[in-house]
Amino acid sequence: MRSSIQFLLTLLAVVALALLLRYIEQETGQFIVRLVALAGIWIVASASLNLVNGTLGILSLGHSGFMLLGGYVVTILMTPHVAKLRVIQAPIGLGLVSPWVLDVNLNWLTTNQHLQFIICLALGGVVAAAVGFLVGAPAFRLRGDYLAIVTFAFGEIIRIVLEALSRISNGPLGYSGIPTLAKGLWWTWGTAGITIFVIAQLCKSSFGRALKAIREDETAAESMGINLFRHKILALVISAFFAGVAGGLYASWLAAITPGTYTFSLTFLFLVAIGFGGLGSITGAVLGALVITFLPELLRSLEGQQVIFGQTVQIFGLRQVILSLILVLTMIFYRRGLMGYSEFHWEWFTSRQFKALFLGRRAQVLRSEELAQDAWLRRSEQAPEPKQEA
Amino acid sequence: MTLAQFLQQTINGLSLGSLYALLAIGYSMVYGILRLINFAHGEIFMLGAFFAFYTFTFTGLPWWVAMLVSMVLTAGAGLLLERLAYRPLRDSPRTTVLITAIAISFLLQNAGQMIFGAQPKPFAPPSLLLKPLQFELAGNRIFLRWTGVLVPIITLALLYLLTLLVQRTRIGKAMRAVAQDTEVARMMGINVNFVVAITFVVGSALAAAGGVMWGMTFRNIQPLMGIFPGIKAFIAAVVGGIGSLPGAMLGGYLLGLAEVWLVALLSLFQSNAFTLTTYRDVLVFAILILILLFRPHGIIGEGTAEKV
Amino acid sequence: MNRLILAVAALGLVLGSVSLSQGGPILIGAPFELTGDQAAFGTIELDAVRFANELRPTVLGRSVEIVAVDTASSASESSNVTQRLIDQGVVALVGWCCSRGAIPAAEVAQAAGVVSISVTSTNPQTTLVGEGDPRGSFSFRVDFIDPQQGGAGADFVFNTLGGRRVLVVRQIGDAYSFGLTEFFTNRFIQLGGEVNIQDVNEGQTDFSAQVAALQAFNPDVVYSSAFPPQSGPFIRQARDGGYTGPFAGGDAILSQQTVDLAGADAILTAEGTANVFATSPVGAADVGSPEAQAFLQAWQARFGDNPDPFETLGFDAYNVVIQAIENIGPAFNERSLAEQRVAIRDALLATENFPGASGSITFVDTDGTPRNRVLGVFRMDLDAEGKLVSGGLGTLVATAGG
Repeated sequence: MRSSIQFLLTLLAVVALALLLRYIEQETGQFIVRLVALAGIWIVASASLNLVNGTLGILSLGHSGFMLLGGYVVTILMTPHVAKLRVIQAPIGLGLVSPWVLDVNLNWLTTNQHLQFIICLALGGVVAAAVGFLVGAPAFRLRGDYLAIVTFAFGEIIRIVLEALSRISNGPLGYSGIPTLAKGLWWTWGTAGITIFVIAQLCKSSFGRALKAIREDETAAESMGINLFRHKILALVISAFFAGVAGGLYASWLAAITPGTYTFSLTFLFLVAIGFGGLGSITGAVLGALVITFLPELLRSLEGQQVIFGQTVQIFGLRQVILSLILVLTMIFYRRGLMGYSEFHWEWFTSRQFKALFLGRRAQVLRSEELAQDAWLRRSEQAPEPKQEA
Repeated sequence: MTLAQFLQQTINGLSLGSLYALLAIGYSMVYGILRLINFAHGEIFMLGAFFAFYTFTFTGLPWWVAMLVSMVLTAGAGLLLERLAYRPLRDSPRTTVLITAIAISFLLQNAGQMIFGAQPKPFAPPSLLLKPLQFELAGNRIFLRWTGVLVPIITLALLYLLTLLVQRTRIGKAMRAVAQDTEVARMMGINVNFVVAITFVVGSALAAAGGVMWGMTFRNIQPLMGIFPGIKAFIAAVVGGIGSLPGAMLGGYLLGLAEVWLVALLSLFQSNAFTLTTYRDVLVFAILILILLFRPHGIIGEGTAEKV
Repeated sequence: MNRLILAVAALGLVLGSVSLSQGGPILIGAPFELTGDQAAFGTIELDAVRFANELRPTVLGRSVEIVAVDTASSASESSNVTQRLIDQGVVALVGWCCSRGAIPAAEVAQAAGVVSISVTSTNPQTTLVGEGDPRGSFSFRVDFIDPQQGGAGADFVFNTLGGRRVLVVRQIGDAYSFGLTEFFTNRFIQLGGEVNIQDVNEGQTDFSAQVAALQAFNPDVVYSSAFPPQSGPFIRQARDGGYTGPFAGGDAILSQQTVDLAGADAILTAEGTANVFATSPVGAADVGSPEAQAFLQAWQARFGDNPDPFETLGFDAYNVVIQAIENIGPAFNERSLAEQRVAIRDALLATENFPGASGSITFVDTDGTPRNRVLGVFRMDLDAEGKLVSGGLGTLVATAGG
């Protein structure tokens, strides 16, 4: 397919999506709008986590810490003076927060809230990226599995320290009354669009190819002249930047922030997203983000009242169990998630698989070919083991 | 701090460290053989405590029988986990396996809350073990309970049995071989799947023993109880040198002692004006990171010690 | 692709099923933390709300239906599910044990003009989210954020127990524990005492390190602002570590769970009197009121044990809303859903001396947090079976404030 046609198709798809968002905003209930807005935020978070965990292939577990930083930047700079004041003067406001925090804002620059929000999101991203650099600098001196625990440790450290800095963060009480700009679909989906575009361009560039080379074989990549440390840390910094942006959006969407909101379970949510959608695929991350937003709400009907042996009972917890189970099963049967490494492409619609799917035929031939290729790419120690041994 | 206080805290730390060591060994064994961080190990530990709790509650068997029953049941759970979740992923990318392990951990936590209930449950050890054990030292009183003595003894006994298993038996030899080189071991006719299964069985049984003793020492259990000990024991395994048995033991005891000493030390410098103990976990993590930076393979590094 | 279309259609069906307000039962939304790290409190509070609903299933001739949903201890799920319940047509929301979910939900409910009553969220901001809104605030709570409690606790520890060195157990990241500790320590230091704060984690079961610190600090009294799942084992392990002095704490520890997790022998001294004390606004002036007695008897008949403070408050949260609806009168049934919601808010704000199981509740001239009552200090005395006497309260030993 020619690239000009593809460009046209992409443009059309974007316009169609914009129309759909407009329709949702005007024609559906508040609940759907909230959910769709949240989906946009989760896309930003999942796509950014995917850059390190999928494209680079290093398990980073400190995402919630970066998001918390972005959230607090938006909170401190955007929350109106009145709302901050009530946080401090509340019946047990405790007077924890230093008075100077009241006067920190962006009003000296511009009074336009939307402009302020853009600046705050970017600033939140920069702060998160800077901390990401501080995390990565020591962490990437290590190889392999230790990174998982070190990034996890940093995620916890960020949260505990911020909570202890109650002069700024108001301790575990946090803030409320943050302007809720991120309830708007244009904000979250606009940011999601920019994130996807930037990360997709990065992945296509030589930088992205270098990341994939590192993922497949670090030693080989290094011998090809790729500077491992520089590439890894840059990937983490970019990932942390977008995590900060997502955290800022999330704080605004919730209208409130406490450090306890940004725990490891938040990171786990995005692990589910990219694990399900595809480790190393932006399309997969988007798909996964949609799943983690809508599936829990769809599964709620399972937790409604049910009559068992004449008794009305309501069993809670099934949703969480099913969500974890879905991730486990996806990992077992798809290994790299539904999408694997592949990205959405217009040529899908002219591909054999697509036709096979819609003509009802199986596309097994191609899959086994792919598998064989994959096996080639892997190191020998990871090759499928022989059927039977003594 | 007086000498007696220091001794008292050392005893507390050794008791806690024993439990970390039991858990850390499970992480280390699995890592040594499969190069897999079994993030669900903390939940296996939780299952062990609950199996013992229900055995104890429903049958009224003596505690040590309940502990053995729980070790068998938990070993079965570990086996099932390996067979259903990890074996199909044996040759898949590292990230995939790690994410699966994290997912299993969440699955067991949530299933635990659904089945056992979210409320913490009191876990009653036999009253004999609760008898206080006091003695004087240089005019100061040292205080501990029989559980505090029994836990390190049982732990060391189990670790001794494990060492025998690894050093003296055929299967132990096979485990060491697989840990050294899976491919070569397979070519030599070792049934790798069987060895891995045994590893999970042994690791899970030890975690169950840890869970039961944890319940007896701290007197309560709940479905999320595996999270903190799980993380700490993993840190212990990494600090000691993951993949190494003596490393895991060393790491467990070091972490137990460090944690107790650290809080006691921080408390000494606390005053009305400021609280330092908030930073306890930060310091533990910072120590972990520093150790890894200067000794990337832990205190007893890879290659210098045998791996299982 | 077909499956995708099906899924979208199913989503539309599920989400589109908004029930009507006038005909059927009155819907009360009950979003609680039923899974995740806060489930220990959310589940028992929901049980109490359900129990209250069993005892009082109708109002104004219509049945009341509890729509219970799980927030998974997550802020975003709490926020989503609140909006969903509002879209489903609930007239009011009763739920939330903790501030993490309660505040974002209160923001959503405020925007929609629906009353949200949190059972035990202690963060002051929960009832302040509507400040400045011309329609007035829609957020309430039935628990107390009483700064008196910490102060009264400090006075009691200093004057009655004679404590000068106090080890304070605080739960990291928890608004209740944080606030209580802050007020306790401020007052206690002002009185001339010395404190040493030990932070513990939610879900922590081993307190070896903290007990070591306790042994080193050698306090006269231990004050715990943490919840029973931490306080109970802490008391146990402190006793196991040789500490024989008294414990004190806020209303959260005044619970059978604390006793069960600590063990009766840790609560009592060798002579058999209790050595654990708790301040509580719950029931201080109302011990033995007919409402409290009726609730206690019904609860014991149904569950065979004493209610926990969390359960008592869950029970009251439901009843205060139902009473508000009843106070509106038959005109309630004639109104539109939006008017009903505002009417409930207005009726709640007019609530004065509602006789709850936890004592009287007054919302008149408040921001949605009940007005202070007389505090009591209770000694956690146990009967022969290890149950707290006086239906779970222990023995009143002192009163403070008013």
